[in-house]
Amino acid sequence: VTPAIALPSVCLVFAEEDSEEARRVSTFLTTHGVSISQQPAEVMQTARLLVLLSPHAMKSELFWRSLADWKERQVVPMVVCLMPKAELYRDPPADWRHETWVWLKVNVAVELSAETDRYVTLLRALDPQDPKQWWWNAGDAVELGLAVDVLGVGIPRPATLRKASSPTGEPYPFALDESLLSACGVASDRLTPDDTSGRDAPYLALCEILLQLRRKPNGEPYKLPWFILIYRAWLSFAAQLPGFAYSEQDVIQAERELRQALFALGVGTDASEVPAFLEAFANLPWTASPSTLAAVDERTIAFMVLVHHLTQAALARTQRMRLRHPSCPCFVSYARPDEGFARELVANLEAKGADVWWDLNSITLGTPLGGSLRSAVGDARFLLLVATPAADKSPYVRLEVETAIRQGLRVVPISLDGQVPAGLQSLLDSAPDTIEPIISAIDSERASAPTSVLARLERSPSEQLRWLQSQAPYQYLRKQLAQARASLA
Amino acid sequence: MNETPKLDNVSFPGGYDITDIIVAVKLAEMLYAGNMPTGEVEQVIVQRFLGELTARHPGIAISDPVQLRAQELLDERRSLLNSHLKFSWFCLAHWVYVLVTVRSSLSLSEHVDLSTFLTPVRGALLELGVRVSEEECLAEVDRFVPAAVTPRSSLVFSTTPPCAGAKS
Repeated sequence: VTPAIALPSVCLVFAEEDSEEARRVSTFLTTHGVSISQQPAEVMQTARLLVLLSPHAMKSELFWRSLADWKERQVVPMVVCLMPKAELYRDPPADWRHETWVWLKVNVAVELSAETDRYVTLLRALDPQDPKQWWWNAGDAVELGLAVDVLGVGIPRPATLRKASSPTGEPYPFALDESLLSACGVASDRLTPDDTSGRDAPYLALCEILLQLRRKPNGEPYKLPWFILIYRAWLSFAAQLPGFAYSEQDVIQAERELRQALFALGVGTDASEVPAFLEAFANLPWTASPSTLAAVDERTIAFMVLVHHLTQAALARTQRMRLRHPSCPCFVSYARPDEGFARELVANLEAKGADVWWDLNSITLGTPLGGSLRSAVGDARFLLLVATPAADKSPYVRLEVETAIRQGLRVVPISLDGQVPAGLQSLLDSAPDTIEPIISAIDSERASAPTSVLARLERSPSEQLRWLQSQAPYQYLRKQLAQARASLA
Repeated sequence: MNETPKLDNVSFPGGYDITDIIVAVKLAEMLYAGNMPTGEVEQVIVQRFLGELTARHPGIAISDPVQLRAQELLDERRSLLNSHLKFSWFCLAHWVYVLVTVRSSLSLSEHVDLSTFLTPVRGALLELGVRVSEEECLAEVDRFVPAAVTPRSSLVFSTTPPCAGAKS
């Protein structure tokens, strides 16, 4: 595939029942120049120990004894799951195998899929931290003639690299800090304009400075959109304050600037959507009427918090978000045979901005399932139950539903055939107060099911307000702005 | 590349323009390894880019097309509807290629102070959210350096590299 490729030798450990799979893995690796050894005694120096972990292997004493032997050899193990990765943690060994299990689980797990490229995934995963993996995926490296060592053993890795890749703690790229609150001050000054320079003159002057910063390499690209957004949002909430004056031209200009600022921050909007949203936002059940500076400040800061949340979500998804309040977080409970439907549902919900937790996007190696599950269910407000006969038979689905009911989550059953299997139904009947009406996802209604689900997840106006006020930056920014106002007064 | 920028309504923060990336790399190859684009597609892309650049700046003798394109991309940041990362990706592609050729002993500028090339790479990385020291950056780039000049890389670097075989 690539020139001058250097390949490591690999050892393989597997249960007898998985010998057919092991043979296929061996054949694939051998044809790619990887030499395979199966006995510890054969290995003088090796970098990789491929461990094929399956339900059979988990139960095989011979398999674990063999692993314990390898462990003494100081090899680096790499777990290859022949079952869904999430199931690794459902029943971890607790006896004498535990120590070996701990040794195994701190290393990379590859879940072999049923796709045709499954072994290519395995080859790539032999060194997942190698940046050339990215080149490989993009297909650029071969064209450039620069990828010479896909498996990363030919070129020594600098010792400092691991440290360098850890997070620095610097906010990127949306630094929502108190300096942006100056936009509120500039906006409120507009209520008592200096007639010699015009109402928006100070604002425009600051925009020009921020534009220069945005244009500079390593400048502050997001300060300008934030400044514009805060200034215009503040004024839109200040319509009832004395001294407020917006001409028709100002209204058009404000809408254009708001849309552009939101766009630059990762929030896409349609024409006229922003004024309507701000009006609805101003009509949330606030305690104070919008006739004081403090009340306008409060609304502006809450709006900043909302946009900040949306920009973070846009960055995480590398997709623009719609201007809308985030829905309640939910947890998806499904049986493995229904994974296709669950995948489709989650993709649809996430595309509409829902905050969905499910095992395939959340469980990482080294995190015990129990802990992950408890944490996820604890954070969620809803449990979406894909209620099928397979789910009825799954003890894990049952565990998830029981945990959800115990923790007071609302349970939304989603049925693929119009009914809930008897076992699950009796479980749901045990807590009728927490069960939402069933959503039907039979063939003719499958396309509309995500919309129905999303409608259940949406917050009421008072819940939206409570959520905004509970976000960490909200109190901090309010306090900072109040202090700034007091010092100016 | 000279059309009015199309609004990217989907991806965010965006800015990864594959045509710009190809141009950045090919210009680096021409300027620092002394190779002209050999592929038909590459030739078309580079020629079209240079033609369009000349058309956008009539009456100016373009001595440094990379600098001019970089300036254009910085100017595009005036609009909030353009991704500010377009400039960062362009610079990263160009200067990383230059660094790799220098470290491979394939560059015509191998004796130039390395910080000349490291500074724009680190700046582009910083804008993309990655902070690295000069040493870390160089160590990472070195991992891409071919261990030896191979038949494949000889084909890519179609003229005789200045230090062919020096790394073997």
